[in-house]
Amino acid sequence: MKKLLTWMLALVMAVSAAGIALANPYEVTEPITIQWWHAHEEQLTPYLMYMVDRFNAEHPYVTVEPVYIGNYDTIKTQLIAAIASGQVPALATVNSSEPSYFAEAGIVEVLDPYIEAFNYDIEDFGEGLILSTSYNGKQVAIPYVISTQVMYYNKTAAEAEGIEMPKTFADMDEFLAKATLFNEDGTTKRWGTVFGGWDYWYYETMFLNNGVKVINDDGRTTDINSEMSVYITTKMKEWIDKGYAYYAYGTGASSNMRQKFWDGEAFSVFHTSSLYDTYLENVAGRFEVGMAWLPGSIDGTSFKSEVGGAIIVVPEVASQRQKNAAWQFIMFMTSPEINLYWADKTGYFPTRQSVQGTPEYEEYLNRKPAMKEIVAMSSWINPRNSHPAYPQIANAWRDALNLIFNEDAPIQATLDELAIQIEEILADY
Amino acid sequence: MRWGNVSTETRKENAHVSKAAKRLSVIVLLIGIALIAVGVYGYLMGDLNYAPLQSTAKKVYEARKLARSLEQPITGTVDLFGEGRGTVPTRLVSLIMDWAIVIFLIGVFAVFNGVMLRIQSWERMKDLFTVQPAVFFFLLFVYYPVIDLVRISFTDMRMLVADPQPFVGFKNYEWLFRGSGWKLFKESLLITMRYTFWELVITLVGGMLLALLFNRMTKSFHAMRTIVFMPRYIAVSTSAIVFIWILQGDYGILNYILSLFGIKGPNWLVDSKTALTGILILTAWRVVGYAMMIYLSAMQSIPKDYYEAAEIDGADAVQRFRYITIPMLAPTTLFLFVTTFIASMKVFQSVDVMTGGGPGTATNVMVQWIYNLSFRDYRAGRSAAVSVVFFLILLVCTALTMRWSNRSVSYDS
Repeated sequence: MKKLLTWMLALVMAVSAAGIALANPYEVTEPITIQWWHAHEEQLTPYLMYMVDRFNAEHPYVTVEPVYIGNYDTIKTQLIAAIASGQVPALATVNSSEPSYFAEAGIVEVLDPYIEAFNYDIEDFGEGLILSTSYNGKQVAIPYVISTQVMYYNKTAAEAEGIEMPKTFADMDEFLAKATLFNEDGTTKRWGTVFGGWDYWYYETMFLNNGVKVINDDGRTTDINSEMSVYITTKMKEWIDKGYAYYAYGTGASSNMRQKFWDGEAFSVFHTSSLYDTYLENVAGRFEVGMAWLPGSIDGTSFKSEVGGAIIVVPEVASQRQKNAAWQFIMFMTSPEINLYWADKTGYFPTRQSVQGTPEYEEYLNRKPAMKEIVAMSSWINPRNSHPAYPQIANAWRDALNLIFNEDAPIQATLDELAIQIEEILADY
Repeated sequence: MRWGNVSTETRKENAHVSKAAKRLSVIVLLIGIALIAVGVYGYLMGDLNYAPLQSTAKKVYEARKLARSLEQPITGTVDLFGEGRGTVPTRLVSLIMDWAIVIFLIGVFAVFNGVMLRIQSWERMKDLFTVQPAVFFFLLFVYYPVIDLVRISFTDMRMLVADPQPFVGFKNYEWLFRGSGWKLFKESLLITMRYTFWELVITLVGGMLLALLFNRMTKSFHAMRTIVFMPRYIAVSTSAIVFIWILQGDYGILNYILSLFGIKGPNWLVDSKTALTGILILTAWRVVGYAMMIYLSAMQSIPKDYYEAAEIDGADAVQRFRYITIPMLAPTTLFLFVTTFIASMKVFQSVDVMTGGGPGTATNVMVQWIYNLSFRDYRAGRSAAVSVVFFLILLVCTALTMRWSNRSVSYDS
């Protein structure tokens, strides 16, 4: 009798186990250690480790090993090499502009079955972020840390000198004239602003808001040498030549730009909202740091910005065990609680809509009042251009603008030549 | 016996080849031929994506995907010739695809040894066996990649797109010579030549002048020589990072020093007129010490008698340098010229770290351009086409240099 009971019990357990396995093939059922490739610099390590340690403690079957690879370009290159070799991390955080690139090549896992299996609330990210992380209607990535382009400015000086941040591109002339200070010998003492010229992301919206299309809807032609594009480029060149604006380009441009702001040599800079805490920390209370939305279109009707930050992808060639464990970690790191934790410790946005309106969120905004203005405008944040040729085109654009701004190349001719180059690139796709 | 002269001597040696060796040679020969056939089959199916074998390859790719997903070995079988005439384990076919080139090379070596066993004595075979591992690795890791590069140059490989890569014939070469690639190619080659010219000047002139300065065997000079030589052994990437700081326009040390003399230094690595100079400053710091050491050792081997005799004949210091030192250093100069020329044409690390080929295309040397094509624009097919052409240019340049040097440089002291 006892033996019979034992057998029956074993049978029930086996059936239950089989049932669970059948019910959800994406569950983690045995211990596994996975790698997470990321690009978070040293200053974020304590927050990153808080998240990883908590996950590891709460999930006995999965151990996550975070591996710092380098910037997003390095991660992309390393990930491609890893995929070719078959030795991949279970998940990686990549630049938010990448999903279409990876998805078109079919090298990232489609996450829809996981979302369905765990009833994961993807809708909570909102339409814009879902669009930014999907390709041909399939969810190929999950929003992780999201930022957008902003203007950091010296709020103390703005209040003392009565400087208003520009709301539109048309306001830029007046703003720069006020914000720029000159030495007696005519050289610039304090730049009105610094354009982040090393990455198209920082100047792109000035063009997009005024109707310039880097890739036209036909996917074959460009607007980059249009009248409006030439006008905006001419204005930027004029501000640079007058000593109002500094064009940060080339090696070390990002550090150079930040340093100018921290040292009070620049009134404002075009940068990413994700570095808000870094700016605060380095200014160290010498003045108050303000954050403003980038200037909108000339007519004040469009204030579009673009998604920045990082998204999470799972390599398609990873084993199912790795993928399942990665999904557990993804669910944890994108949970509302961790989402708000990251936003609080960095300058990234909370990506989940459900976070907004909670007491914790209100408290976070009260502690970071500069973020309020940005959050209020967040409905203008759009997905980035997902054309696979876009990064290559953007590099060519960046180089052309450098020739114009730093080396006095003729504007119309340079943009005409760029247009030919862009259309040649597009012809290959 | 000479390798090319098989006739009489070989026949004599054949007499010493045992029957066992002859029997073994047949077996080895057959194994070799079989391995070559298997290797070619794997290569056609995997790398060349040969149309009649595509359905088998597809089955293998699917089996691999499943195995990888389950973290288990590849299972199942594939029918190679249809109707069950060649059912083999999928795992074996997958292995053949992965190791095709190695299998092919082992086959070639087996055929070679099979032939040699019939015509060489056992003593000579032992010599042959000794040298073959090195030749094997050389073929596998040097020549095969070059050959595969040529293959890739005829494909539309885009790095991100999964295998197999479609063959596009001469499309990449058309882009390079007739399309938008031509302008970039000319530009990049010119930048590379300019960089090479200046590195040669720095190495040969700078190295020789420093060697003249340090050609004293005192302790303090010995220490200074070590200091000048040391940069050669510091990783290029590390040095490049330090030089980015030194050359930074607004906060760099170099511009600070220049400002003390009332000079406003440029933004070295951002201005296209000075970016290459910025890289050459790092190059000078790295290479001049090495050139000095090579020249120094050569200078110290020049017999003192020559200088004494010239002095007695009334030659001044400049004449002694012109008519004794320079000619006596000619072989050393040639060595430095050839090695520096080839190395500097392939400059990459310092450029990649310091400018990435920019600003614009101001420092877009050939290897940087090849790298950017592959890893920035993901056009590996085009990148391979440029690599092949650049390889040929280097080959011709090196051959011409060697030919010229054989005529012009005397090794007779």
